[in-house]
Amino acid sequence: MEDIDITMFPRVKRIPHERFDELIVKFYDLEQSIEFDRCKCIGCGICSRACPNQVIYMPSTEGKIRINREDLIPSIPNPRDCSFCGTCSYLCPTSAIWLKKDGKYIKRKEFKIVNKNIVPILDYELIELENPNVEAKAFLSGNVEVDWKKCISCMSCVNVCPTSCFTKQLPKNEEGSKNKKSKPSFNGKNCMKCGSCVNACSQGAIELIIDGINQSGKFKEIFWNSLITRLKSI
Amino acid sequence: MKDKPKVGVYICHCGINIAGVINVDKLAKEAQDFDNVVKTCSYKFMCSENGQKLIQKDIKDELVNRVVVAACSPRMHENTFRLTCKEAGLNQFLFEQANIREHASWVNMNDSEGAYGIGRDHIRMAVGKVSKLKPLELTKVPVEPSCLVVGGGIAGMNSALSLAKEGYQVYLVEKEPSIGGHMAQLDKTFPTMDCSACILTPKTAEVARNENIHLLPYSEVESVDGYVGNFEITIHHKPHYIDQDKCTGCGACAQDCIVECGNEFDLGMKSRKATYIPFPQAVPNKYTIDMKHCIKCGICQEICPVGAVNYEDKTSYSKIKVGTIILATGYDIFDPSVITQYGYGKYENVITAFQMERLLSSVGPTNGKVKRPSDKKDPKTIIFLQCVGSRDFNEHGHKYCSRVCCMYATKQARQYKEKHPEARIYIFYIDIRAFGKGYEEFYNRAGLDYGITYVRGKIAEVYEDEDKNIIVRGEDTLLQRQIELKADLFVLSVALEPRADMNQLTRMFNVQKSEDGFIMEAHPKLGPIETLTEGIFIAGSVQSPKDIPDTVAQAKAAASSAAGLMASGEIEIEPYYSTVLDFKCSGCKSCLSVCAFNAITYNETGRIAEINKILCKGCGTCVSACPSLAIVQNHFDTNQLNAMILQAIPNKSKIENGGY
Repeated sequence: MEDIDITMFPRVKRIPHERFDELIVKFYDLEQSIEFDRCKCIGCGICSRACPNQVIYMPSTEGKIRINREDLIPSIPNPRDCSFCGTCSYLCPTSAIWLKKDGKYIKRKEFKIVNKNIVPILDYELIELENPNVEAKAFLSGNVEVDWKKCISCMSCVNVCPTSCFTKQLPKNEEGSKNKKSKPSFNGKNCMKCGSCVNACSQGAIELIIDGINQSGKFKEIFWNSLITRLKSI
Repeated sequence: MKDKPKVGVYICHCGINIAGVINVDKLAKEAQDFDNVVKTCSYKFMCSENGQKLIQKDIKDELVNRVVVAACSPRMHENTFRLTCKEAGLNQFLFEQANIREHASWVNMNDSEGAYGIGRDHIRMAVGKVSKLKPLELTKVPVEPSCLVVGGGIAGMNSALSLAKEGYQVYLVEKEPSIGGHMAQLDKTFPTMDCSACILTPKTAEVARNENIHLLPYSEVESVDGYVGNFEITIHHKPHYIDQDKCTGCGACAQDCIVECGNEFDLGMKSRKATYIPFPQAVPNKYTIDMKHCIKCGICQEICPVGAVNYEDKTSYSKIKVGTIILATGYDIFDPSVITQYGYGKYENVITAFQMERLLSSVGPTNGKVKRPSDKKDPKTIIFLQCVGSRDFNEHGHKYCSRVCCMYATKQARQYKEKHPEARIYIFYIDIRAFGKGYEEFYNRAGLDYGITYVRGKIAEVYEDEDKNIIVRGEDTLLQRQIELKADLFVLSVALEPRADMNQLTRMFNVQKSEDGFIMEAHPKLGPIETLTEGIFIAGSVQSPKDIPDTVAQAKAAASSAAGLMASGEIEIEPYYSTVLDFKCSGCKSCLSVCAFNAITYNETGRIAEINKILCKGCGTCVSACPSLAIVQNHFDTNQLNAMILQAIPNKSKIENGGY
């Protein structure tokens, strides 16, 4: 079922597909749309933090303890406020966001933020993700710190980590050991510093410190610097 | 005045308005026996020059020193008779008017005896009061020779221009980045089919050029203090993010802006950049950044040849002092989605007439070619429905007639027919109200020469078929049968309604709202320009829905009224103010909370309340609220009111405890 909001112009259509949601903002002279691939999304929230208009919202996980990837899929409640600049699409590690103009996909290098050198070229390394079976761009550098004292072993981080850095550790069956619970453990070798685990942890036990973006080329400082500040504010 | 009161009672026949019901001669005779009355007489028209001379003669002969005129409402002629007294050398506040027309004769046309009794009581009460009156003097205050005009639409602009031409300083505040208002959004104007922009832009240019007009776009009034002649206004200037002094309007910033968002001027139907001017002929022709959509990419900052872009621009405030205020804030457009049976907001091809207006406009989203929203095809059948939200006694509607819808629907239908003679156009109406000059002729030609079909009746329900056509079901009440029609485009002629922030406006300027939500005028016939707050005038649709000719007429009238007030340099204020008896005041602040005019302040050192006699409007609320009986109101003090009450119930010899 498509959901149309036509009380005023520009008219907004939401078309939920099997894999993705399409959001169309329709003027008389222009039709812009944005596609959110639910299956590719890893719930990192980079789009939400990067959005210059702050129109992408992460879902509230308040009150939930055990969080899955589906709980972290962002949404745009008011697409009329979206500027269709493409920042979210450009930075999405799994290319889950696509922009369309008048029904045609816009290639990433045709984004105005890219060809007007507002954003730099991202130097990334492609990582094969097991689940959801896509390649992800790792362009962030930084550090993940876990405060194990806060951990309640809900395994949300294990659920959401796209690179399986968090794994479930079974209890050791030693005699006399009081600890019979499974616990997650962290190995940051493949970590792409996306932040999904931080979004998922209901206890606030995980901290991501982003110290930089691997980038090259020209960019507009006023735009990019404030974007990095927002990206770091996880 | 220590002289014994000598009251003269003058009874007016008011033609047959009073004399036709009440035996005035008998009344005059009876009134001679009232306390302090020394002379009574009756005359055909007391307000005529001869009638006034009767009163003046008696005053000059020192026969009377208090005057009661029993005639019409004081609202009509109190001032006339006051001047009569003043000219004859009597203090004008030693006069009292008994309203025996509206209160006695008119409401008891068939009961001559009863009317006589009421008239007699009114006169007796007036005599009782006038005997206790004290002479008062008018207060004079200087007037600042400047005017604040709120709203830069066609009303505000005309008021501003008229005042500026007379040499007054005008501050024109407009909340949008450019002036022009709703009229700028229209394509053509009925009945002459003048292009709206063509007749508007010379005005906007004139406003911008005039040295006496200080144009304050993208600003709103924050607060209003002071009183007539000396208003102190704080204005809130919204940030443009582009230095308006530096901007040359070259448009380089908009050309390279990468953002596409909805243009409010086109009601969101067309896209615009985040740096924008609302429409090409906008005045002032300076750009503004829409920060809600701007991504601060820095391109415009780099490209601007004069370096005007400033992302860090902040809200600023300024203070001005004006003598008068003209409110011309206009109207809002009714949102028909609340009337669910018309399908607005549910079906794509249901639009409002204001959206139709933008589609018809040559600079609109479709460059003047009307396309329906769903598939951008030319509609072959258009149905207009009148009175959407007006003349509607249901929950969401307005009871009043919006006055312009019959004509704008006819105009739009004719415009479409001119380009598409083969199209079928139906207009569903309750009544066609074509009252203005040339309107009836315009409507007549629409039916006869253009072949537009007028159907009397309202539409009950609309549906959408699989091609997104609108199926309309209704009743033709002239032929008394049900009809079902298929339309490609369904246009709702929506009402004009009061601005959404009307409550805020009325509170800030201390003006009253009438039942329909628009601002109340001082008198529906004799004071349609003034408000009940002195020095504040209204122009255009802020008072009631109006077409352009009426708006311009009222705007110029408001300017003239404001100028009249400022011309003498000072104004006289009626001395009905209240005063605080400081030895009685306990400083409880009860009066502060009840004063509707912010006229009472609390003196912290003396621990008493103080009343600003210029701000005080003499409503008397504080007098009745004061638990210590410490507030006395001029002309309506307890003694004077008690005298009236005693006369109204003459059988009781006195009222215990001073009436409280």
